[in-house]
Amino acid sequence: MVGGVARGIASHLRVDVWWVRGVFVLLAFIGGSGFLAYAILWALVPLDSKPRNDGVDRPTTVDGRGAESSLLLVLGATGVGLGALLLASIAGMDVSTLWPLAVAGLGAALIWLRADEGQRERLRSGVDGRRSGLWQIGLGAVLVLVGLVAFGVGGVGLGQAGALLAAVLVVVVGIALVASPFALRLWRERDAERRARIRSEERAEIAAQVHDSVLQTLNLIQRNASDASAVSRVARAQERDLRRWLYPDPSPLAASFRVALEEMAADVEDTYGVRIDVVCVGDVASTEPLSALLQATREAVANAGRHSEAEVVSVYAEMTDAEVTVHVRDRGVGFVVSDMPADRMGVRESILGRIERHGGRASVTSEPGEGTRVELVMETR
Amino acid sequence: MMTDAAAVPTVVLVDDHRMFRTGVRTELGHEIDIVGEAEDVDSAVTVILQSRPDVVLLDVHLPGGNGPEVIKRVGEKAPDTRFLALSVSDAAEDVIATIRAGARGYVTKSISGPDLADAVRQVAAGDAVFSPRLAGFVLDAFAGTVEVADIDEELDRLTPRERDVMRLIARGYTYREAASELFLSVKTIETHVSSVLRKLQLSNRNELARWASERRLT
Repeated sequence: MVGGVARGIASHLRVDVWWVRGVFVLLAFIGGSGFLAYAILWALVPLDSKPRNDGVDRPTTVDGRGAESSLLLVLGATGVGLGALLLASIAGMDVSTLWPLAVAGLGAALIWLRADEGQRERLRSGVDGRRSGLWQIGLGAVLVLVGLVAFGVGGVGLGQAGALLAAVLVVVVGIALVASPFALRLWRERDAERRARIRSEERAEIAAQVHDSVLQTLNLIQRNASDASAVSRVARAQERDLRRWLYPDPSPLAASFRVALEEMAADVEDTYGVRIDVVCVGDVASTEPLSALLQATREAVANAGRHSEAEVVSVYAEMTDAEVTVHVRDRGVGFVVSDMPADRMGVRESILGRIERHGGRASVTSEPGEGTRVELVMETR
Repeated sequence: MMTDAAAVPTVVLVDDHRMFRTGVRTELGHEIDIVGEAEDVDSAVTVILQSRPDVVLLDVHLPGGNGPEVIKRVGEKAPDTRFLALSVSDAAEDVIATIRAGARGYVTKSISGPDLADAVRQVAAGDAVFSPRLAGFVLDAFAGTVEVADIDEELDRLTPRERDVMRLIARGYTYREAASELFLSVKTIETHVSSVLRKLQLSNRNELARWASERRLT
């Protein structure tokens, strides 16, 4: 009820939860061991939150058995220990002398359980849980040490406790010295394995990207080899796509005008097969008047794509909190502005008219042979 | 000006893609004199020190280090050699690292053949070459106002004229077009651009420092 331990054990042993609770309560009357067992099991037994089968290809059967066998081990050890305590107390022995051994045994069980988990983790290589694994191993080690020392002290008397502790520490340090190279090697192997796995995942992602986009595009290019404009259009779209993937915009605003402008340019590029270079300074969030500015800019860029015969159209946008200025320029054939036929709705209505209706300023300058420049200014609010 | 305008500049091509080097040779072979090629950092340093070209066309990404590494290693040993960085990437970190290492200009590989030849000649003549995107980047990096206390730090801000020039370059204007737009001589435009380049290389302005540290360039 407190930590869900009884329920966990019950579901594991497939018995009613009240049986387990009854055993705990019963044990609690015998030297308080029920409390101790509950607390320790609470600390030890991992929460069953992760689904076993998370889609990663790993040997789940071995895994499951590993976890279950170690859980059984702990339960068994606890049961045997508690049974021994029970028998001893019935036989009238001084139970308190056996407590240290029980503590040490539980410490050892804790370490085994963790070691087993560690094994699984190696397969899964998750970073999460490693730290809690470390502290559980540490706790187990402390329990073992304390239990053994306490047992020893109980036997030989308090006076020699210091000497005994020192002796135990020397042994522990000795074991650590002998074991550390192996431990280190294991650690390194594990690290190398993890790195190799990350590398291969990255490789797989890149391969997928290249396959989905670049190879398809190369295929398209080969099939359209005779159509120069189709080839350059496909190649340019691919270039944009790949660029966006390789160099993602670090922090685009939500509903950013810059992003909207670049998307618009990409769209016009695809439609007219002309290269559009967009340079932006600053960024602002899109607002109602700015969407009119975007429409007008689109019209200007599309006009350049349709009529200018230039290879490149330059779009420059400078965005401040107060206003946005957009320049569209080509070095194409140009036209005489005063001769502009009245039916050229594109320039008169869709560019100049639209901007002025929204309170902005717009100008179009062009000369035959000199290309065309469109300047649009709009306040952001 | 170190090279006669009529003289054909000598160039070393540093790029790990042979296809790209061949392309430049085919397209510009008669406009520039390609005296050497290299495909990684070590061979680039060797070839540059041997042939002492006017201009090195330098790919930003190279095996065995990157473009800025080549610039640093050649450094003072070939003081008359100038670097023009070429890259497929327009990423801010590449631009800033290369310029701050000492490149006199930065253009992307999508540049047309004639424009590239012009850029090489400009760099050979000691001028700086700014692509529209680099100009936009400069305007972004030097945007906003500087604290009054720092105003004596000339390196940390652009003059209004420099800003005007950068704006026109960002819009795709050539130096000549910018000159006629601003009623200045082409020489004056070149002076402004060189001064902006120097600020970009030397300024400790927060934005530049931040970019550099965010992208682990320092």
